[in-house]
Amino acid sequence: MTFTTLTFILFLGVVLTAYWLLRNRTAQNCLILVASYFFYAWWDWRFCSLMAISSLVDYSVGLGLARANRRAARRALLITSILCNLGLLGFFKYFKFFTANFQALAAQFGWDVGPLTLHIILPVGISFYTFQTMSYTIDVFRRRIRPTANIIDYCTYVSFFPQLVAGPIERAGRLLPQFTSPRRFDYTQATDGCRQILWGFFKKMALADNLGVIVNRFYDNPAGSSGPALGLATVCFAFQIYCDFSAYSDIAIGVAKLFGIRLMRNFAYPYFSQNLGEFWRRWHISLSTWFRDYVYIPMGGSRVRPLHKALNILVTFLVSGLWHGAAWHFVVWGLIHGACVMPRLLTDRPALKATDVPGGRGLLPSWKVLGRMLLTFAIVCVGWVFFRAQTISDAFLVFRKMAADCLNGSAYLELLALLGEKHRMTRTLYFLAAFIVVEWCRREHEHALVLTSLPRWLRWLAYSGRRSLHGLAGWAGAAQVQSRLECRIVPILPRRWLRWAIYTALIWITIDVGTKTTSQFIYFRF
Amino acid sequence: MRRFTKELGVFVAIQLAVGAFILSHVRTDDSHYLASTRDKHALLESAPSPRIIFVGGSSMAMGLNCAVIKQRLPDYNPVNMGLHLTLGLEFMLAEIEDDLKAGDVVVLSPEYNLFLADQGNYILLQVVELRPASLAYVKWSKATDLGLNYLGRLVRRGIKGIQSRADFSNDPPYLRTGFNEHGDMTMHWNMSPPKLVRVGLEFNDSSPRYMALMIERLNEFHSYCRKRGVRVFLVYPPFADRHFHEQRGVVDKVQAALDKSLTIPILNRPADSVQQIDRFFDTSYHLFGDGIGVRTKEIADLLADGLKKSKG
Repeated sequence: MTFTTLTFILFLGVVLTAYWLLRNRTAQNCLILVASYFFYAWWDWRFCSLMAISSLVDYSVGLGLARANRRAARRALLITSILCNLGLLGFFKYFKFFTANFQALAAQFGWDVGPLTLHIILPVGISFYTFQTMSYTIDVFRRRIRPTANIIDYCTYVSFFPQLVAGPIERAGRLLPQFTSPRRFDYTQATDGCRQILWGFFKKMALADNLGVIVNRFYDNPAGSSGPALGLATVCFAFQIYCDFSAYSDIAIGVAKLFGIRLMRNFAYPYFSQNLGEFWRRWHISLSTWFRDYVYIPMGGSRVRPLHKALNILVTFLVSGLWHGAAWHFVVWGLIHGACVMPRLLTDRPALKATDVPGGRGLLPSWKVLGRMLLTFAIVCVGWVFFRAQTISDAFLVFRKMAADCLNGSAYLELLALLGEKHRMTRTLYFLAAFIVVEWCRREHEHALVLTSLPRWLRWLAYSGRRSLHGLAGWAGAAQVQSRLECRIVPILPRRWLRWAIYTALIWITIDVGTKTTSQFIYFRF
Repeated sequence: MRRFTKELGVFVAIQLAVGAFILSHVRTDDSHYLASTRDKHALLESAPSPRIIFVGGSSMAMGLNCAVIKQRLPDYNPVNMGLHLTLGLEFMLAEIEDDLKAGDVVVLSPEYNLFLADQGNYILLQVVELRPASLAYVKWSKATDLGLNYLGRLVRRGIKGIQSRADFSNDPPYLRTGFNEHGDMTMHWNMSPPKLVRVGLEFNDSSPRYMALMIERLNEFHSYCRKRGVRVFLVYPPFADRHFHEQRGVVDKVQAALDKSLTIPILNRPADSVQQIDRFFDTSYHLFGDGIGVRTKEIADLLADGLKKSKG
């Protein structure tokens, strides 16, 4: 059940209504649990058994860790949990990759190992919920949190449907207490949730899906596309994956707010980062912090010698690349980021946090800041070429074409002519430009639709419009109309009506521009 | 909560008002190619049994001459239900299921793309809009998934209506009037062909599963037909030779899967339906001119043989 469908909207309406009619916390959790399994079963009911197995194993391990005192026993329980979760992940996600590579390697030595093929379907969301349950057992093992004895609360934490299939990957210490305590309806949180959901819908339907059309046109046939076209497609892919994934997170977080649950922020305007280290503190925050806390730090983190630290960084990014997909081009993508992040992490302490305002607080960035942001974006785009291309050789083909055509004027003219013909593509690019401006202007907020304080220039614009109408009415002799438009001395307009006008425009633009197809979110593949 | 519910109610009411205003300007176009679905269904209901019902996408619509079929098999009344491949196999089968009668014959000629991935909703939405009764052929889970797409489509139509812009593009031969009394598209038969577009056959990770699902559906359809005394046959679709050889690998995969699991008798092999590229109109699937004659003769011969064998 994809978020951007009528099916989900109807499902959410029913579940939310029932949820707030129930006053009892346990009943609410039971409802969420049933709804979450129903949500997951919509894809394939067989997937539910995997989630149930993972949940039950880790719940039992958690209780076992609470009772066990001997170090060996505790270690054995933790290893059980990790093996179970990684085993599930390894089998369903990586079996084909490893067997294909094993066969290729064996063939190098002249060994014929025979067919090792199985038709394995990748269960949606397995990469996310296995990591979420593993973090629970690891934190219990480390005595950071106490395990829960309430199986309903625990299973609800694992299966909570808004973040089940594509994150944010929550930590038990943050999310589980919210399920073990009563929830009260919060007007401010709920309205902000609605705004965040709307922004997510806009990013997914109006931007990501339409950018995907441009990307697919050129990346599905790189040999037949020119360098400038592939360059444009790469930039479009950078924003497609950002809008697609952050939209999912926005909708997930917004929906959770409607239930009175706060999920962690997952994106903090990553493309306004000034270096790769900052980028990884703003992109897919829940995953990058997971790898930091459960892979990088246990390997020694930054408290080791520089060479060891460099290795830790590379291994962490390699594993992160592999997490994204069972293919070598994802591994290369991870290694590129690891190599580019390394100099900064080896030499400087990270200065900027995700909660800091990216690019500083001014309306416009300085030239230096703008230069750093563009350079960082360019490096990230190099990585995206590997991420989007079907194979490593396709990725290198894209680079070769971009290099070969970079001074080819006719290739640029051809691209401009194509954009002139394809109005939908051009319109998408205009929307993208406007989106970047809006995100820049609203970067101090959790998401761009936080409109509780409207920019002064917008309020003056609306006031000027009203004042013009007032003057026109007077000139036309429409005294009654004029008196209704009487402006106060202080140009304060009803903010709510201005906000609602913006929301209304956004809703209908999204429906108009964004609903030719119902496409899956990109991160469902992981 | 009361304040939230109240404000949400007001906001939703405003959206409904805006929506009503936009949707009041929606115009329909009865001359569009896809509007022929109404005629095809009327033909299906009125043609006396026993019928030969041809099912497929536009390759079937544009690549068959039912008058020749009628001459060759005079005991049967041919009905060409072919329209557009992106309607999907599920829809195509559901369209005819309830109208089947004992003695009818169904000839399926699904395009290869129908076995590789879901073809999207765009054309399906247009068909449902032109013939609302066709919504009954859409699975309810897909119908609710289509809801936002459908609304979006209506909104775009409404905005065009407000701007007094033409909505459907009506370029020959893709017009409702381009079909004959059997449901064959004939307007293009003697037209000069435009530039030929190669149809890509994309085989990806989810294709094997999708193929298995489609074969399962076909087998269910076959079982349903057998119980009602309806015979079913499958014929591979026409394909331009150059594009066929370039994508032979994918075609072989489809053929292998069908040979392994399909219960419906297959009357030919993919290579038998391949013709030289200059017999194709505007895509790898759309025959015109002599190509239609060759294809029709092929189907008529195969069918005559197949009917004789299945009687025996």
